[in-house]
Amino acid sequence: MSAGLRLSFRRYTLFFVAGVGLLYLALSILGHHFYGMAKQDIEHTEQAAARLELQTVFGRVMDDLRAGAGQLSQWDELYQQVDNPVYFAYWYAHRIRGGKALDSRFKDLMVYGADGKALAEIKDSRLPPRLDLADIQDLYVPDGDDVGVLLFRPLQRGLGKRQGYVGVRASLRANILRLQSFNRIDVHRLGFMLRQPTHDPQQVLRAVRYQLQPTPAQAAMDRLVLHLILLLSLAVLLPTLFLSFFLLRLVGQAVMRIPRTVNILRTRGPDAARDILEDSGGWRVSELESVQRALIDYHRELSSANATLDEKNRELWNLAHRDVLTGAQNRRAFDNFWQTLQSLKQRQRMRSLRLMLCDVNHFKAINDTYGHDVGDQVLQAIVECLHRAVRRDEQLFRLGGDEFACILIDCDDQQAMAVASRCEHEVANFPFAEKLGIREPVRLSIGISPVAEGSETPAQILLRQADVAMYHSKRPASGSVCIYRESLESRSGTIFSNSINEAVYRVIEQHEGLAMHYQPVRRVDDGTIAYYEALMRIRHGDRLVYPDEILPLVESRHLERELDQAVIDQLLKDFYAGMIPVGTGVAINLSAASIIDENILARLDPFRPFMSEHKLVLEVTETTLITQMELASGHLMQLRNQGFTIALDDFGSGYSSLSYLTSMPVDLVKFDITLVKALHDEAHRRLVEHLLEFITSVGRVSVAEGVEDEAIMRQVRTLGFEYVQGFLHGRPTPLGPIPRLGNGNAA
Amino acid sequence: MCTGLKRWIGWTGLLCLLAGQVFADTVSLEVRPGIRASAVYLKAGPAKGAVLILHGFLQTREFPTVSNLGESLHDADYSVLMPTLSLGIDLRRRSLPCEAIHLHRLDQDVDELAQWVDWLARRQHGPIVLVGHSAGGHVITRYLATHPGAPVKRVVLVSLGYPVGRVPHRKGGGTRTLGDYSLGFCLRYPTTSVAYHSYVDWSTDKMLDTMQHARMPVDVIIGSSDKRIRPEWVDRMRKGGVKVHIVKGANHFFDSAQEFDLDDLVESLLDDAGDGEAGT
Repeated sequence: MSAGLRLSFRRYTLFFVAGVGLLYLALSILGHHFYGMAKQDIEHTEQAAARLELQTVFGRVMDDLRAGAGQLSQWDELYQQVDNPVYFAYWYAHRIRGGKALDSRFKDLMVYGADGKALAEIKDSRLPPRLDLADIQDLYVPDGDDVGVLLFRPLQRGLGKRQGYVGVRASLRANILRLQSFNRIDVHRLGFMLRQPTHDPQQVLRAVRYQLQPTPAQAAMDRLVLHLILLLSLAVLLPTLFLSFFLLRLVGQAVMRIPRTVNILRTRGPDAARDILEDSGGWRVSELESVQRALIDYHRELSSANATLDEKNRELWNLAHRDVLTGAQNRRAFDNFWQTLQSLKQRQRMRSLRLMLCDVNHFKAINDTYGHDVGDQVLQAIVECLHRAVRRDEQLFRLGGDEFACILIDCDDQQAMAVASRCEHEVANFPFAEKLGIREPVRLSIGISPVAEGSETPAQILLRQADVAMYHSKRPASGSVCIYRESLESRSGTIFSNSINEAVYRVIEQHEGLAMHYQPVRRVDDGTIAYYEALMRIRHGDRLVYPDEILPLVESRHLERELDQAVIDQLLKDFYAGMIPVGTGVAINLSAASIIDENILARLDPFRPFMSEHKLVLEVTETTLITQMELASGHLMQLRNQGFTIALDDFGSGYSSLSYLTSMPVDLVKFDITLVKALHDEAHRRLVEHLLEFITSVGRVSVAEGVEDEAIMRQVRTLGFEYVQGFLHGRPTPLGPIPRLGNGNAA
Repeated sequence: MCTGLKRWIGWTGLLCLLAGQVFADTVSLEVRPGIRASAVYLKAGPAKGAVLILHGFLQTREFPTVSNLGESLHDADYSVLMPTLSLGIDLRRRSLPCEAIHLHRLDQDVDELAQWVDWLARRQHGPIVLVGHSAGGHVITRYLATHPGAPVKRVVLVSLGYPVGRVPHRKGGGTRTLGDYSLGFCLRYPTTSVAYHSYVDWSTDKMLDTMQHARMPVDVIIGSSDKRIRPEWVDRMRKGGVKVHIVKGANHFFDSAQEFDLDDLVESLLDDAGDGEAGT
C-alpha cells in the first residue's frame, strides 16, 4: 500500500477551505502589491502635480497678500497715524488688536515713519521695530510649523512724498487655508520646516511639508478596489464556505454515513444498518445511499459467503482434524494441539501433562466377529464413554483404529489414574450387549505417559511411552491401566525397536532368520510325544528373538498372516528336511488373520503329504474363534475334514466361553498355563476339574500347558488331562534330522 | 448689425471717454500743512453756474447720495465740485470708521469747505450753490455763520441733520486726551473733548438761526421716511421760516426711486432763480 496522505474527510475539507483562504490571501496580497505600485506611480504624478499646485497656490497667496498689503498701504488711518503718531499705541490697541480694522489676511501690522522707525514700540509685536530702508523686501520667518510672511509697503499718496511705511505680518498657512485652493494637498497636514528667515520664496517652498489628500479619483479608485476586494472576498469566500458547508453537510455527512454503516455492519449486522439508513435524516445523497445499500447487500452476501466459508472451513477442519466416524479429533489435530500446547507451555506455567493412550481389547476380533458396522458403533460408544469420563476441556483424539489419546493438562499420576479409571468404568458399564449385541465384554487397555514439569518431551516419545504402558497393561496379570516408567522399557522396549522391526521384516520378506523351536506335547498315560508345538524364534545377530517380542509388533503392524506364512514355509522345510519325527506331529499356531484367510486351505495344503505319518495340529486362540466366527468355523471345519487337528490355545486366559467349545470345530483344548499353575489351589483345581469334565464330555481332548514340575504333573494326571506340555516334559528346542524317537523320551 | 451703426457706437463711446477725462477731474488742496484734501470737479459750461456738494458725517464724496446727485446736476449742465473732507487725513479716500481716532474738528471742516468754495469761485467767476447732505449741512450752516460774505447764491440742505452728542463712555480731556464718545450714528467715537464739542456745540438753534438769517435762499429737503430726522426739528425749521421740502417716501439717503425725485427737486430749486416753495 502506498504511503500516501490519509486524513479524514472533515480535515480534507478544512484543508481545502484553508487552502482557498491562503490562496485568496496570497492573491489579495499580490493584487494589493500591484495596486500599490500603480498607486505609487499615481502618487508620483500627484506629487509632481501637488508641487506645481503648491507653487501656484503659494504664488496666489503671495499675490493676494501683496495686493492686501498694497491696499493696506492706502488705508487712510495709517496716514492719520503717520501724520499724528501720538495716538498710535491707542489706535494699535483698539483698531489692530482689539478691533476688526485689519484685513483678515494679516495677523499684525506696524506703521513706520519715513525714517523707518516704528511709530511706537509695541511689546508683543512680531514685526521689526525698525526697517532697513535700503532693503525692504518680503521676508519669510519661521513661526513654529508655520511661516510668517512680512510685507512692507511705503505709505505714499500718489506721487507725493513717502510719508512712512506699513509692515504687515501674515500666516502663510492661514492664508493658504483661507484660499482653499488645494485639490491634491491635504491642507490640514500642511507644515513648514523653515529654519531661518529668508527672502527667497523658493526656499520657503522647499520647506513645505505636506501630504496628499485623497483625490476624488484616488478615493474613488480606493473605494472601487475596496469594493472589488469585498466583492471578490464574497465571490471567493462565500462559495468556499458554501462549498465547505455543502461538502461537510451534504457530502461529508453522506460520506461519513458509509464508515458508520460499515461500523454498524460490523457490530450490529446488515439489518440494523439498513434500518438506520432508512431512518437517517438530514441531507442524503442517492448515489452514496446506493453505495451504502450496495455495501449492506454486499456485506449480507459476504456474511453469507463467510458463514458458508466458515461452515466449509469447519467441515474442512473437521475433515482434516476430526475423525468422521467417532467425532473425536484425529491424529493431525493431535499434532496441532500438541504444538499449541508446547507454545502455551512456554507462555503459561503448566504443572505437568499426562498423555493417556488407550485401545479396545480384542477390537479386531469384535470387528471381525460382529462386522464393521458393529465395530464402528463400538468405537462411537467408546468415544461417547471417554467424553463423559475425561475432564472438561480435555480433548479426545482418535489416533487410528481403536487407539485413542487424551492429553490431560495440569494432571498428576493420581489424577490421571482417576481419569483412566473413569474411562474404564464408563466403558465397562456401557450396555454393549443390549445395544450392539456384543456378548463379549469390551474393555480398554490404557497407558499413561507422564510429562514432567518443565520437560519438553516430543510427542512421538510420549506416544511411544504411552504405547509401551498400554501394551504392558494388556499383559496377563497386569491391570488395565498402566503408567509408564522406565522399567517397562526393558520388557517392552524391543517391541518397536528398529532391530526387531528389521528382524521381523527380514523373516517375512526374505524368509531369513526364522528358526523353529519345537516343544514336545506328551501323552499323560505313557509319556510319549504326541506332537511338537512349533514355536518360532527369529535369529537376529547372535541372539534369538522370542514371540513375546515379535507378536506385539506383528499385531500392531497387522503382519500376522505374513508371519504365519513364513512359519508354514519354514515348517514345510523342516518337514522336508526330515526333522519332524514320523509318528509325531507338529502344532502350528495360526493367527486369526490366517484362519479367516480365504486361502488358508491352499496355504496349508502342502502339509497334506505329511499327514499320513504325522499329526498336524492347528492351534488357534479364543480370540481367533470369535473373530468372524462363522468364517473361522467354516475354514476350521474344512481343515479338520482334511485331517488337521484343531486346538484351542490358551483356554482360560481370555473369554473362556464354554459355549464356544460346543459349537466350534475344536479337537484339543489347551488349558492356559495360568490355570495349570494354579492347580495347587483347591478351588481352582475344582474349577479346572469341572471344566475338564465338561470338555471331555463334549468330546474334546485336553492338554495342560505349563507343566513344569512333578507336583503339577501329579495334579494333571489326577485330573485326567490327556496331554501335557511344559518344561518338565521338554523345553522348546530346534530339531535336527532326528532318528526315530523312542516313546517316552522327551525332546 | 450694420457697419454704420458699429462705427457710430464706436465714435460715441470714444467721445464719452474723452468728455469724462476732460470734465471729470480730481483735484486736491493742501488744506493744512501736510494734509491734502481731494475733490472731484465736474466741469460744465458757464451757463448754470457751479454747485458744491458736501458729503455727510465721516463720509466721502463717493457716498452714493452725493455722487449720484453730483452727476445728475452735472448732467443738467452744472459744474459740480464734490470734495472729500480730509478729517485730518492726507488725501482721505474712504469713509472714516467710527472706531478710528477722530481728531478732526468742525472748524477744520468749515475751513476746508471755505477753501473749496474759494477754489470753485475762482474758477466760475460767480456765486455758487452749496448743497449739503446730512451733516454736510451742519458744516455748511457753520460755514454760512462764520463766512457771511461767502460767494454763495443758494443753499440746499438735503436730509439736514446734525451730530447728536451723547454722554461719553469715557470723557476725554482738552485737546489731547482721547475719550470714548458717542456722536451721531457712532456709538463709540474716540476723540478729544475739544474735537467732540466742536461738533456738538454747533447746535440746532444756531443752525436754525443761521438759516433764518442767511442772505441767500436756504432750502431743506427731507425724506418723509427719514428716521434719522426728528419731526420736531422739521417743525422747528418750518416754524422758523426755513423752506422745507418733503420728498414722499424717501429715507435719509434718497436711494431707490427717490434718488430721481431728489435730483429733480434739487434741479428745480437750482433752476428757480427765486424762492422755492416750502412744504413740498
